Amino acid sequence: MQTTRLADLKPGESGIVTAVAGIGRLAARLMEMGMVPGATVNVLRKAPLGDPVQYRVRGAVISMRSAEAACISVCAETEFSRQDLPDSMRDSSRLALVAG
Amino acid sequence: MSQMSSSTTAPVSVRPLRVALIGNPNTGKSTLFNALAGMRVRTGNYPGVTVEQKTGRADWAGTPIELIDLPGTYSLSPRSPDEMVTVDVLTGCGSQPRPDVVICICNATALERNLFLVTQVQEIGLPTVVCLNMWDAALRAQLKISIEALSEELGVPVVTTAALKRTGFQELQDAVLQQYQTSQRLSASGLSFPVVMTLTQPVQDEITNLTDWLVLADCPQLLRCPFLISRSLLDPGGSVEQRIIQATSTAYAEQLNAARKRLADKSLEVPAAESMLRYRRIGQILQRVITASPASQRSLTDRLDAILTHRFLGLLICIAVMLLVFSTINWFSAPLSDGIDGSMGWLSDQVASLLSPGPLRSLLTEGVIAGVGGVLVFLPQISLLFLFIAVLEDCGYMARAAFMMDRVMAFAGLSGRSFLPLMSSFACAVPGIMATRVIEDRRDRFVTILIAPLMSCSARLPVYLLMTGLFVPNISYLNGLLPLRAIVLLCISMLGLVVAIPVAYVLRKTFFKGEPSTFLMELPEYRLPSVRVTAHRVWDSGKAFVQQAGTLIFATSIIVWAAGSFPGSHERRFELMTEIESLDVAAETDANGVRAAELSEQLNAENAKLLENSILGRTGHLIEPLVRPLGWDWRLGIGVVASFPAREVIVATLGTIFSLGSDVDEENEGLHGALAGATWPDGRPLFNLPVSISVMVFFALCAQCVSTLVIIRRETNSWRWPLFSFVYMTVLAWIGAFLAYQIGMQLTTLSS
Ligand SMILES: Nc1nc2c(ncn2[C@@H]2O[C@H](COP(=O)(O)OP(=O)(O)O)[C@@H](O)[C@H]2O)c(=O)[nH]1
Ligand SMILES: [Mg+2]
Repeated sequence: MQTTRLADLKPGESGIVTAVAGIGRLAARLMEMGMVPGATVNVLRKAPLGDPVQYRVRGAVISMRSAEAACISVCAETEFSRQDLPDSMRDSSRLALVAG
Repeated sequence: MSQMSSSTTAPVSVRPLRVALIGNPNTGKSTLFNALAGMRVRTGNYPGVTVEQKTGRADWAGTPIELIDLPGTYSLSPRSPDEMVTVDVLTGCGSQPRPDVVICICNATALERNLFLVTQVQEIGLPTVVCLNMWDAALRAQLKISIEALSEELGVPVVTTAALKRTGFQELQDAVLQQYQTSQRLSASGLSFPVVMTLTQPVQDEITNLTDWLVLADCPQLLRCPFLISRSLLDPGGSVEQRIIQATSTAYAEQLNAARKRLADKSLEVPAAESMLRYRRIGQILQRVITASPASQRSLTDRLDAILTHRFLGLLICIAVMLLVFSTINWFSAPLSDGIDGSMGWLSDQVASLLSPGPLRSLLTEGVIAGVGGVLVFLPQISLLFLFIAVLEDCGYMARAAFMMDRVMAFAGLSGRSFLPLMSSFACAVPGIMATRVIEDRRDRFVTILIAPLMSCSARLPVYLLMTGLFVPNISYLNGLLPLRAIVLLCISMLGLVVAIPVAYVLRKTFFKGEPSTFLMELPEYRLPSVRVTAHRVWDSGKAFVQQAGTLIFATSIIVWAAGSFPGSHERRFELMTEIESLDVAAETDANGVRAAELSEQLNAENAKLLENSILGRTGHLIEPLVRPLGWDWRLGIGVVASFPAREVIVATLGTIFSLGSDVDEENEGLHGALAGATWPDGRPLFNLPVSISVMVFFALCAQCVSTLVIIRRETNSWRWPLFSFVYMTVLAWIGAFLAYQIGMQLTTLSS
């Protein structure tokens, strides 16, 4: 599975979260807001000065700086399979609704 | 009447039922709270933190209710004392007993994310009611949500409301009372309210292990809050972990690490595991609950965002909106403030006509009325600014402005959320500082509060106009298009902003060190602003200002009045005033008119003498060595000391010192002449260009504004920060003025 950093996606592109790096406040907050492995993220647009960027995840629009988006790894939707999730999560992500 | 009429066993308790409201930001929590509590709201501060404590009273079917509004939050994973407040209130580990019932408010159109918090709250074991707010919006979006299924899955009552339209309240109230009675029945039979665990067995086992360890460590108060033990496991580096380690020993940290290691081996890494488990469970719930979710077309919000945050258009619109806001405030608040000023003057005259000149009249007119007026003149600005802030925030634009300006604010180590508070401070630092409440990050918020008073507020303008008008040559460049005075005015107005950037940077590196600020923010959907919500915000902010700041600003005005009046015998002054008032002046040229002018001159001289010998005047002399390097004499020193209540006071004080009576403003001919003619004892002119620039620089950077300091005290909940602001700004102001004067003098000698 080929992963890239969320920060490297361009507006209009989308991906599926595979991991969120770190254990600090930022990582925790990101995951609470729904950026957990298996969630679909769309890149909406950049701010006029190039940073931060708007993303859509779980139906909400979230904005974050590229530096923050850099700790999220994503892969292409076609490449994602549940096998990539940890065992304990395998039956998780209802991808249909998550994407909606 | 509801089914819960008094004939059923309505609890006849002496204390009201404590009902806490919790929910994600922007779910309509404040709207619901205000609708339920009406005007019976009390705000305060939780001890030791900057979180506002809001409680309201209500009466539901004869049961007295105390509503507690908790800060909006996405989760119960506290990582700062401010966030810990919510957990302490819900678990009853803080200063208050735990609530009897908790209402979890969700945005019905974003259930997936909102249920995250619900599953956490359910682990506390409090009687809970889930309230799906914005039901009107969900219906409009043709979302089909099965309430029965959701209630079954969660095991708690679920009700739907539309807080703006005030529908569904009865069902909500009934459900809360019902839950309370259920919990009463349970506790009567020795049971506690069931905890609903979303976390899987391995996690629960580790929580049990930790509990067992704590039993041995003999920490009874912790064991009463099992929720805290799970938080200590799931939030590495969080507040709960730190608290328990402090209460027990570092051995607990080892226990935690071992537990987390065992979980990681089962591919349940902390903290990722918690979010994944919860979202998995939520996924399962919603599969049953949401029966139709129309394919999302491109929403209105999305289309609006394409314009409003567009690379060029977005910035243009943002600038236009800010210009509109500030010019409107200028347009409307100036006449209103003048009106208040005028009424205060009228009131003064009324008192003067009732009382003959004497200490009481002096206290009333020069102390009390001037003091009250000093507070009230801010009110139009504050109310108007908050009206705009409330409208911009409620319609969703504020979040976009923060989004667009984040990059700029990042230069100073801040985030986009500081943009509006700082912009507002250009009108007046008081509402600007009050507006910092939108900044979640405590460090960002404090840095913003501390630099906000550096922005050039409208109270500095009189000083600037006076000084530029007097000592900056009236020449212009580019065929009269670019007057030198305007350039100087612009530069001096920008000075604070320019200085604020390094100040913020240094503060961020010293007192507010830590993780760099982040800009993780949800952009709410655009909505039409609600009149009710907006009106409430304006009312709240105006009330807070008058109540809390008013008293202190008032007290300071009285103190400065006293310092300027005592010690000294005012008899001669009162005699003169009585005589002037007894003269019947028909025309300025008649005998009485000439006599009155004569007496006024004597009175001015007397006033100046009294001021010089008062505590204030002596202070001026005392600090003369300090202000000498700035090119000032003691009279300017007094001006600075006396303008502690508010910067613009210096104009009136200079008037008094230079013997002009106290009714002067910056356009006063007499004041201009007196200042231009003022000399040092050796006959050198007191003012020249470097001196006037040094005065302006000082006023650009100093903290001579009691209202600002008092508001900083209120918003930071400690006297430490207003004191800090005052000291650092005064030091900066002194250095700035010193440099301006010394460099100015060098240049003057060089060029001559
Ligand atoms: N459509 C709709 N909008 C609502 C409802 N309740 C609140 N709002 C709006 O949602 C926004 C956020 O409300 P607020 O009470 O400030 O949310 P809080 O952040 O949770 O305190 C405001 O613009 C309200 O006017 C509702 O029931 N339906
Ligand atoms: Mg609110």
